Amino acid sequence: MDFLSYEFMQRALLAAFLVGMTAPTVGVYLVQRRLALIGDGLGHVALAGVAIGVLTSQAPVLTALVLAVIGAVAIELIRSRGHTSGDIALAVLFYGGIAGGVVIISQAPGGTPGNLNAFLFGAITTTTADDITVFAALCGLVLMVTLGLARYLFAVSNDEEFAVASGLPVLRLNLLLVVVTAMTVVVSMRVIGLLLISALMILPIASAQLVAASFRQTIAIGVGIGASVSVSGVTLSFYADTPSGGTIVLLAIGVFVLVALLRAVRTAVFRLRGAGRAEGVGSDDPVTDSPVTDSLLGGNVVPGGVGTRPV
Amino acid sequence: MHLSSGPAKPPSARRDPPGLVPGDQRRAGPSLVCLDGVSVGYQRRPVLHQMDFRLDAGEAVAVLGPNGAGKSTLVRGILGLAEILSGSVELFGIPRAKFRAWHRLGYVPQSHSVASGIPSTVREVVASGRLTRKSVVRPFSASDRRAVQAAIDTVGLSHRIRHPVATLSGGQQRRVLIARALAGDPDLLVLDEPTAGVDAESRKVLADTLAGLVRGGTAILFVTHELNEMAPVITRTVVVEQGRIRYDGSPLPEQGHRSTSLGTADCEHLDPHGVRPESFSSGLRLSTNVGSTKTKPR
Repeated sequence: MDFLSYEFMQRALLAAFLVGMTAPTVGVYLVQRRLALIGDGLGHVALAGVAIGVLTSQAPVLTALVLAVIGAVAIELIRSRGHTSGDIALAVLFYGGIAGGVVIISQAPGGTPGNLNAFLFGAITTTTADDITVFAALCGLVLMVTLGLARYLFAVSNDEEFAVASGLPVLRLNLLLVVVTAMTVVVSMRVIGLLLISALMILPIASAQLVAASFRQTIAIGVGIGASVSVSGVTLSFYADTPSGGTIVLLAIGVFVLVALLRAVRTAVFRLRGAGRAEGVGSDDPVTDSPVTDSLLGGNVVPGGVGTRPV
Repeated sequence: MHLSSGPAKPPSARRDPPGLVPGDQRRAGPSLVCLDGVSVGYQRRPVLHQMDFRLDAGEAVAVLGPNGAGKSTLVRGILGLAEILSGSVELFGIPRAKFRAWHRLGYVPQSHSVASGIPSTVREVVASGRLTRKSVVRPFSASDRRAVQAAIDTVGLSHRIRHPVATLSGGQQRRVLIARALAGDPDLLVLDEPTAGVDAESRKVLADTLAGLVRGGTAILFVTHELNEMAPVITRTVVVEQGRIRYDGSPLPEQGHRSTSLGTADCEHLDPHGVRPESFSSGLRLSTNVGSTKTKPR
C-alpha cells in the first residue's frame, strides 16, 4: 500500500473513483438508446476545445467542456429533427473535432499535435487538487441527473415513441442526457483519455447487463465494475509502469470477457440440467422460472416449458 | 400461461359521472377525440386526407383496413407522432397543441417487443407509464406504486412482476405494454395492432382484458387487421382505405363469428363514397365459416 503515501496517487485514485462511478450511469442510457459511440464523438470535439484552451491560454478543461456541450446539443438537435441520421452526425463530430484540434493546436506558440497526447490517452498522475474539486462538482451534477431523473431517462431511452405520446419532455430529457455525456467526457479525459472514454461508459454496462435482472441492477453493478476497474487500473499502472487509461480499459475488457464466459458456462449447465429434467419428470422448473436465472440464461422462457429459448 | 379472469379496474380509477353507468357516458361531455377535416402525413406528404372522426366516452372503436391504408397513421396523428398537415385535432375538447392532460390518454404502440438492450423488469417498464401523472420533481409515491401494481394485476402478470421483460412471451410482452398504458389510469386507450403476431390464447387474454376495461368505462381505439377474439369487445367499426374513411358505423355484421378481417380485395367492394353502415352491409358478406379470416362479396 506504499502507493498511497504519494499525494499524486491519492488524487489519481480519487479522480479514478469519481469517473469510474459516474461514467456507467451515463453509459446505461447510451447503450439503451444505441448511442454507445457518442462518447467518442464528443471526445473528439472536446479535443478541439482543449486546443482552443491551449491557444488562448485558458483552462483546457473549461474550453473542452464548452465545446463538447455545444457539440452534444448540436448532435441531438440534428438527430431529433431527422435532418440526417445519428451516424452521419456522429461522423461529422468525429472528424471535425479531431481535425479542428490538430489544426488549432498547430497555431499555438510551440504547439504540436504531441501536446494533445495527455488528453488523448489520459495523464491521471498530473491531476491537481483544483482538478479534483472541478471533477467532484461535475460528477455530482451528472449523478444528480442520471440517478435523480432515472425513471424519466429510462422511459425515453426505452421507448421514445411512447414517451412522446405520453407528453413527456422528450427533447429536453435527451438534451440533458447528451449534456451530461459531454460533462462526463471532459471529466474523464484526464483519467482515461478522450480516445478511450467511451470504454468506461460502455464496458461496465456491457458486463452488468449480462448478469442483471433489472435496469436498476444494471446501473448498480455497472457502477461497481466501473469504480473497481478504475481504481484497480490506476493502482496496477503504478506498479506495472503502464499508462493508466489503457490499463483501466484492458481491465474493463477483461471483466467483460470473464463475465461473458461465466454466463456461457452457466447457460450450458442450466440447459443440461433442464434437458435432464425434461427427460425425467418434465415439470415446471423453479430454477429456470426465477427472474435472475431467466436473465442469466439470456433466453425467452417458453410458456409452459421447462427450458429457455436463446434470444 | 396465466389467464386473466375479468380484469379489475385499478383502485385509482376515475369514477363515472353521476347519473351515468359505464357504456352510457357518451353524453357526458365533449368527444375524447375529434378530427375535423384532418390530413395527416409524414415529411409533408399526406397519408390520410380530409378525415372527420369522433370518438366518445364509453366507445370501443376498431379501425380496420388493408396494409398501407393509413390506420396506424390515424392514431399517430391523434397522438402527435405524425404530422397534421391540415384540419384540427381536439383531445377531450381541447386543441391538441394546448392539450396537457396526457395521463387521460394511454398508448400501446405497434411493437412486437418491449425489451431493449438493457434488462428491465415488468414493474420498471410499467412504472414508466405512470410518469404522465407526475411532475419531474415529485418522487414516486405509494399511490403511484399501487397504481403500477393495479395495472399489472389488470393484465394478469402479477406473477411476472420482477421478471425481465425479455424473458416473457410475445403475448405477455403485449400485455406489459397495455399495463404501461394503464398505469396512468387513462380515459382513452389507443392500441396499434395489439394482436399482431400473438397466438390465439394470448389474443383471448387480451380480449378479456380489453372487455373488462370497456366495462369499467375506459374508451378504446384500436387498429387491427383482424378482429378475431376482439369482435365482441367493439362497439363501432371504422374502415380506412387509401387514406380515407370508407365506413364508420356499428360493428361489422355477424361480428360474433370468431374471425373477421378485411383484406385489400375485400375493401374494393366498399362503397367509395358512402360511409353508412347499410352501404357497407349491402356490399359485403362476412364469411360464416368459423375460423375463416376472409370476407367475401355477395
